Amino acid sequence: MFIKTFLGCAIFVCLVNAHAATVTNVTTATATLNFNANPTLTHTLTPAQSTFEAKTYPAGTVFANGLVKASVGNPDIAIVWHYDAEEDPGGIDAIVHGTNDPSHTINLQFHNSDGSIINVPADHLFNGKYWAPLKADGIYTIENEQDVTIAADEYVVSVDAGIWNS
Amino acid sequence: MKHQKTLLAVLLTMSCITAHAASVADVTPATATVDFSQAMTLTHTLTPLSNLQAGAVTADTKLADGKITVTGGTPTIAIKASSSMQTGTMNAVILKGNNDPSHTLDVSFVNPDGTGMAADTGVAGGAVWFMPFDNENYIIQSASREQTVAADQYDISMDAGIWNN
Repeated sequence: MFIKTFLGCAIFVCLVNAHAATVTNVTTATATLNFNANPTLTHTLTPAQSTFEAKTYPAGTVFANGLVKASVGNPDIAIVWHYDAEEDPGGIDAIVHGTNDPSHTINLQFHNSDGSIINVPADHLFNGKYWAPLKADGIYTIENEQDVTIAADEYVVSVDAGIWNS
Repeated sequence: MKHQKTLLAVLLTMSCITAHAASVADVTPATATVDFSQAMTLTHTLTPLSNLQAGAVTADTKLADGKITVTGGTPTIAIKASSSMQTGTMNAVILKGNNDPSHTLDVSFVNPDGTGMAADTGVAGGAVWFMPFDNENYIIQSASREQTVAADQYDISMDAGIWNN
């Protein structure tokens, strides 16, 4: 009787051990998920000169300097011409008309702070417009694409900036 | 008396001679190979995404990448939330803000494609461990519902180990 009981206990122990899987070499990794407050953007666009002379300007003349800054974090920032019409599909070109005489025009273009043309990825499309991504410094310039003779007039240049969420 | 001593001396001598004349027959060699395999080493990283924005966070938004690499073998890998974490049902984890513990963030750990992992129960300590499908990668994602997340820092710790069945 004692032997049978002992045998029963031994078999039970074996069964328990068979189901007792273990996990070894346990390593722990920790990450901090940092949720930033939603940033606000400060966007300034300043004419490169207080007054421009009506004359011929070579391509690459800087007419205005833009700066976009986020209040917190380093979000991806993109800009787009505010105008609804006459926008180049590439997203960086625009035709600006004179306020007094709309037949007066300037072809303008977005450039990075280093003078290079801003490259707009094909998928940077939002609300029907191609948004030009800015570099981390948030600086851009507005330049004429080609040599241009500018008639005396007022030319209003307007640019929208926003946080690009890919 | 002298005769008895002589006989004893003769017997002892014979015993000694017999002891030196031993032989070994039917020698059977046995060989064992003691294999010292390389110890397995786990490297476990958990990398958060940058530019996480407070506010409305949509369901199943990826928040961090987990990766386990092993040297010295190809074992089955199992993961779970560390015991310091407040866990919910199955693979759900409730995180608290470091700056304000009343801020909470509900997350889960899943396969990189968003699917759930196989779970095993009954291991030591009663913990539930999960096996990534590719035995290597997992992600931390927000819960399967939209939630409003307050600006804060949320720590998450995950354990990874070798599953021995």
